[in-house]
Amino acid sequence: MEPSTTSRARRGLSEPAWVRVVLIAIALLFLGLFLFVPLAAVFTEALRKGLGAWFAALREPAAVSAIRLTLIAAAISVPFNLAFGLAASWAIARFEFRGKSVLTTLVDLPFAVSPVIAGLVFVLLFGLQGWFGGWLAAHDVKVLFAVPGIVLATTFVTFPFVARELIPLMQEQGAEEELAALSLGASGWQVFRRVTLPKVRWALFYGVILCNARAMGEFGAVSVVSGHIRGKTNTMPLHVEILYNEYDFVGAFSVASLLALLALVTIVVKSWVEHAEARRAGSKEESA
Amino acid sequence: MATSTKRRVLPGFRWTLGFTIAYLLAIVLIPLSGLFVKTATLGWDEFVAAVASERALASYRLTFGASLVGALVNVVFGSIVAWVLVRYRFPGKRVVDAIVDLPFALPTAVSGIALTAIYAKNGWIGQWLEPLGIRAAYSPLGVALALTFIGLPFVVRTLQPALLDLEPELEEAAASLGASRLTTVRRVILPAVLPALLTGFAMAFARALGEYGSVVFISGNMPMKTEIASLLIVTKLEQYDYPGATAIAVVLLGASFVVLLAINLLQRWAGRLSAARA
Amino acid sequence: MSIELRGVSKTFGARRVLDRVSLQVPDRRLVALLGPSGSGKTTLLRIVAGLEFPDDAGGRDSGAGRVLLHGEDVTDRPVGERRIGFVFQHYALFRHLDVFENVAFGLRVRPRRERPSEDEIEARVRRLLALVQLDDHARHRPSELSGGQRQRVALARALAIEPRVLLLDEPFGALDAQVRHELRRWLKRLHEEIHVTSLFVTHDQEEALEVADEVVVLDAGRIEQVGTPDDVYHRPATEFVMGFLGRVDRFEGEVEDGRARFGPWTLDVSVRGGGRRAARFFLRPHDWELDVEPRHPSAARARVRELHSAGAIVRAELELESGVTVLAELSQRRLGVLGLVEGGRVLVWPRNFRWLTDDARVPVVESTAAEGSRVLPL
Repeated sequence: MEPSTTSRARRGLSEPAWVRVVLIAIALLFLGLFLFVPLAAVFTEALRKGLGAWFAALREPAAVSAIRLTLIAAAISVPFNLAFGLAASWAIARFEFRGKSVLTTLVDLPFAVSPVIAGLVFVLLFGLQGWFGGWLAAHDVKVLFAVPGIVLATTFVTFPFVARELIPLMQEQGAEEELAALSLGASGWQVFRRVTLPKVRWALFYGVILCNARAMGEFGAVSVVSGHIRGKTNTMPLHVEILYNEYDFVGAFSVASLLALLALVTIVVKSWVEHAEARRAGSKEESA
Repeated sequence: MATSTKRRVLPGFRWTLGFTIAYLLAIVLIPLSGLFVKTATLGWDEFVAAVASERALASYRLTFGASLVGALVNVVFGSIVAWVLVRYRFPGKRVVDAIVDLPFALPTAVSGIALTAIYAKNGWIGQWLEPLGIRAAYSPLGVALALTFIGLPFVVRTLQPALLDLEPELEEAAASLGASRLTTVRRVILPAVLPALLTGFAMAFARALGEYGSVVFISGNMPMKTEIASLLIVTKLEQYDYPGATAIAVVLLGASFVVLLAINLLQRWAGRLSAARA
Repeated sequence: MSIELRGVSKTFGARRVLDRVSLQVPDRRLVALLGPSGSGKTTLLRIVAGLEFPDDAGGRDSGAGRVLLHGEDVTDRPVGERRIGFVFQHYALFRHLDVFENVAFGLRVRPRRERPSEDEIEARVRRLLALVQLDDHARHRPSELSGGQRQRVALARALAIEPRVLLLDEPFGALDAQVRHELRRWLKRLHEEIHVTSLFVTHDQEEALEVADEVVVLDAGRIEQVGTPDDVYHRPATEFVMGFLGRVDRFEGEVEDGRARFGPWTLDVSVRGGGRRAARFFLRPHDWELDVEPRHPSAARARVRELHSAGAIVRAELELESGVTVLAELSQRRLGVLGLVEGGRVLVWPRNFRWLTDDARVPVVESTAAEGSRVLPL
């Protein structure tokens, strides 16, 4: 049991009570203003005309089509980035090789690229004057202003998320358990499935959830490559934009509230995973 | 040396590394390289004209200025939030701690319209600012507000572990040597977490530079006044001015890379600090 | 032979960790690989296991190093096919599995046709848990166990696959002193029960001497000596072994025609003839003779600097007139007879000593007790 904050304050190891209260108040006010108020605004605006209007906005054909496209884009890009995350973390966290630190930096690269630029690079690549533009036009394949472009841009933007969760964790855990499993006669696949996967499952789960949330919520990159064809190439965030610009605020905030719910789920999962891991680490330290 | 082939005990090295590199090339490196190839095809004059036009310069000023303001606000208040979350106990702390990630998880378009609704002149907060003559939405202030929002988690989340890692002995030693609490915070705690604080600042700044979705709604997008650099890229794209868009993108990307490099150096510095302490 | 290494070398980058090491471990032995950190002992163990591979042939080496288990060349076999039981220094227990499933792991991952039935697995794991005295902990997670218990789970898990040899990396290294002592004796008894050829790495000489049937002393990637604990302690093959096992005091001196001179002493040596040569002399704490009367012609005067008498054996730090200090051990009874006190005077001379000239590798063992019949009670 740690000594109470009051007694610590008396020994000059913590702040006087009034300072603590003031600091907590400032922190809560700041977070309230910047986080709680916007979040509350989303749901208030969405329900301004009641649940009926909310449902109606979500059942509108253009909204349904946007939701479907968002789900499709996420359903393609998330599994690819998951496979990449697993492969990259295995290669980077389990082996030593030349150029490893460069590779690790490159994995993070999409974080440093503005989403608008992420969209732009695919426009340059697949646009009519782009590297593949001529070939695609000749073969009547549409990438830009169509689903493939949206999927590619989404994949680019959410590229590092799974890998970023796994690599530090696997590096910290080390490979001894995997080596032990090998020495007991397990095959490579068995080692992965029975030892590695269970060890990282929560981080993996959170990485996928986060990757998914970002995939569904991506705006800038998708906006550039989508062409905004209503009912065809609009994802949920793009649909929000269109409704908002048409002054259909209830519609815009209704779709936005779905995305906000997704964000809340993501946050809950994260704090739950972190809690589970802290508990396990705690019990490990106790008995070590 | 006698080693000719390096054998590895764990299986799967070749194909996982192969897949990693191939996928990285396909999704990230080749598309990005297109940007630089495209820039290289621009003439120097054409490039300068696109990059240094009055409108572009105004957009850089706003982007960098508002990003800086947002990151600085986050340094001040993010530090207080991190401190309070690590050191104090109060009801609802776990919820507060979790919600810090909201700007990270909330789609930018959603934050954009939400902030606009709040700060518009009939909005929850905007209606109180309007009589004071403060215009939040559709002004540079609105841009700074949006960039503060999206940069918020970075300072808090990099500072929290650094504060947790501080050994209590450090502060006890300072107190035992007669330092006042304020002196201890200023002379002992602050220097120890400075690398983390700077890293958080740089990350918030870098994120703000490229931000688009949360800004376009609240900024009003008036050229020369409230137009950020990434919006200018989109505008130029919509006018099929690909060279112009590419040139500005290269400037923006270059700035992000410089900040990223600074973050890397900062983290190496932090690593050395903690190694020296251990 | 259970384990055989032939000319095994290992290089990490520019550093040669093992230099053409050859070693044979007979069946059913409990062998310690003993050496300071960086001597290559863990690398050697991992090469036997297949967790590292020896350097390939080529360059200046004649032929690549080979690893044989029970006569079968396993150099190119991956670790999983060698059927070795490996106990990791930090146990490497599967944190997400309970104790039972940890032990059962090696059986469950076998291909279906070789896999024992569920009942068999159950019976075998139960038997092993009884053997390591953890029957009550089958459903505990590793995080709920103490260090000593984890170590025993790791051992049971390694034994479950009925390994041809058992390899243990610093098996007691991570435990506190009390548990370490208990577990050492327990491991020795266990080995007597199950008789699996076992090789364990340690940097603790006391541990090696107490537990092992045979000790392999390594230094800088080479084997210095292989022998029983008695051999390596009393008949060290090299100066390194002499210095590494137990405390020694060293003197620079010379030998000439059957006489040795070092420190204040002139003593007979068994090697006759030869001119004057420089030599080094080594003395263990129990090699000294202490007395208040000059019962030896070469008895030298010393001052008792410190006495550590809390224990079965008394340790006395003696300062010779030259200012050099040596450490001597004597029994409590002898201490009483001599009446030593700190700051007091005593006469000291070597009862046994070892010496070595620059051109020799193996120290010569000498005893002065045979001179006259002055064998004194300890």
